Amino acid sequence: MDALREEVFSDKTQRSEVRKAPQNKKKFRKEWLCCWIVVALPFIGYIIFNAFPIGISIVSMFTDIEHNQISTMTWNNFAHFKAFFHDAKFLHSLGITFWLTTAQFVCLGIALLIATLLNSNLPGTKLMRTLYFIPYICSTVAVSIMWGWIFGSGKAGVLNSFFGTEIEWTQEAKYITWCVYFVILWQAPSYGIVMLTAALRGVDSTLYEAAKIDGANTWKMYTKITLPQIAPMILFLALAGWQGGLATFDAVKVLAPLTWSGTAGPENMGLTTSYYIYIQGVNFSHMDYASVMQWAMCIITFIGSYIFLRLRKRTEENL
Amino acid sequence: MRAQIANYTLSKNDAAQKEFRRKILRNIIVYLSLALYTVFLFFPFLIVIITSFTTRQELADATGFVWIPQGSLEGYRILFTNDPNAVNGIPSLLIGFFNTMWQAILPTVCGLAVSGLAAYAYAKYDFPGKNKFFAGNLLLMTIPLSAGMASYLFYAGIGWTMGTASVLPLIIPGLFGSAGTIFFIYPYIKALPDGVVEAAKIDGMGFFGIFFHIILPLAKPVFLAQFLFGFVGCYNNYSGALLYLMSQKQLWPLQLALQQITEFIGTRYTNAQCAAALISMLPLLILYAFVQKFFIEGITSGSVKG
Repeated sequence: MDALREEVFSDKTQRSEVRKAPQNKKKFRKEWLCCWIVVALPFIGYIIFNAFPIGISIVSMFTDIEHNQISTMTWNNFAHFKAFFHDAKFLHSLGITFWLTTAQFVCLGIALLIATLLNSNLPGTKLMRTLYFIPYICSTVAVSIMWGWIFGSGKAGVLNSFFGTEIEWTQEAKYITWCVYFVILWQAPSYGIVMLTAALRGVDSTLYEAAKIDGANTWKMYTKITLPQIAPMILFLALAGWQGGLATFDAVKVLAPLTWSGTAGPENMGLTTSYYIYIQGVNFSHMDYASVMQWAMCIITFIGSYIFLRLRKRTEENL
Repeated sequence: MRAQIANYTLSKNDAAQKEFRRKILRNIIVYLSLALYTVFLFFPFLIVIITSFTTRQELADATGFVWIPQGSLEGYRILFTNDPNAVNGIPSLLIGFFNTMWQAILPTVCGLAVSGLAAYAYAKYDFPGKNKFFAGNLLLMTIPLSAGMASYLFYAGIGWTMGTASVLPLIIPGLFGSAGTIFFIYPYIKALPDGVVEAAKIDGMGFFGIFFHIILPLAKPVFLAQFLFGFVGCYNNYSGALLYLMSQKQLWPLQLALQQITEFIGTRYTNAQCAAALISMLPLLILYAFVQKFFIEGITSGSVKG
């Protein structure tokens, strides 16, 4: 990123030198207009569809809004914040979200293992890498339906016929979170595998040769050379996993649909924060209150992301 | 002691053989682990394919998982004949597929064109204010703030959550390109020789002509990769459609139609549930089979450098 910035700023210094020469004085050119338009478009889009919604949702946190129509906004003296700090359901959902986020890090471990194995460059590993990417392109909705069937349906269910049990895994508070956990374990490593295989391939092979001459064994080479070299990529994936994990929604929406008693799955065990935000905002039309939770999540996500980015920068400096 | 001496006297040949045996063992372990993971990944597909061809009666009578069904198409038939969400008799999965196509392709292609043009302007033109714009773009990318579901308030405010207009929040924002895509494409266009652009200018080509006739063909792989990722993202987008399009059956994209029909069918017809999941995954899997090279190269090329 910094390299990009430097590149552009060095352009600037060159240009200002050119500008000093009077015969090269810049005249307005028609191309500039095209440039300005195409360059400005992303900013316009950002301001209209990102900055405005952000502004409105920030304001809405301090107001009561009826039926999600902003024309009905009235100041409510921090009522949402008072409610928010006493919302046990939010804390509960936060716990479940954190628990499901740990799945992302387990996935990172799986991805690292599989990528290392693929890096052995044995015949067939290229095909496997292609196959292992397939879960990434499958929609989480379809994947959750798939696993829902494996976990479900009494005696005829796959899991039950394996274990000789008759448990509706997705209907029991004890198991539902594990079902979602499993869906993540199945789907999330695929991205990491592809990224880490590429990162492993990018490690300078002369480093290994030098270590071999020094008599290092395979394990030592892996921990002292490979891991530090791919550490930036690992931390990038950890960052993506953190952000993705905290936003877990599709899988719980499918596997833990709202029950008649209004809980997300049995005993609310499928209630992640994004699901809770959705229920509050859409089912109860309390987008104003949902905004409070949304921004709380935003802060939590940001804190974690900042830590991962700092760590990543440090590992890059150590290279 | 004797063993030690024996070790010392191991001939070179023995050492090589030992090394060879170790290598074989290592390879067996690697293949075994990878095979295990492959089974884990493809086992659910197998199960779902089998069940989609099982009849309801077979499932009801079963005392365990039905591994060898009679091969009936009952599950598929139900999806296309007994669809409660059908609009004018057209099953919702079919409508969903076409809706997904245009709702995914329109913002992906248009957004990519805008991002590409902006990257091209940054890379090949020296217009006043370029540095300020570029720095601003960098800022947008590094702080990816978004209101998430709370954006609903804004779209409700401008009337984009009523009737057919409720598809607009899913499409219009994507048309403006994105800072991330610009930075992904920028280095590729920057690396193209300036002489190409200069020559085209002398030939009398304009700003857009050069982009579409010269830059685009030269940077095809990066554009294709970005298109594929944008397209897959839109194709699999479920929460956005759920938020805005729930009341507009005729506009449901595939993922929403899939979730709705499987929830409606419930466990009465698991064969139809499995069939629906398969049908909705199939188009992307076919696409992937043809262009997997671009997918994998595209995903890794931009970020490996760090």
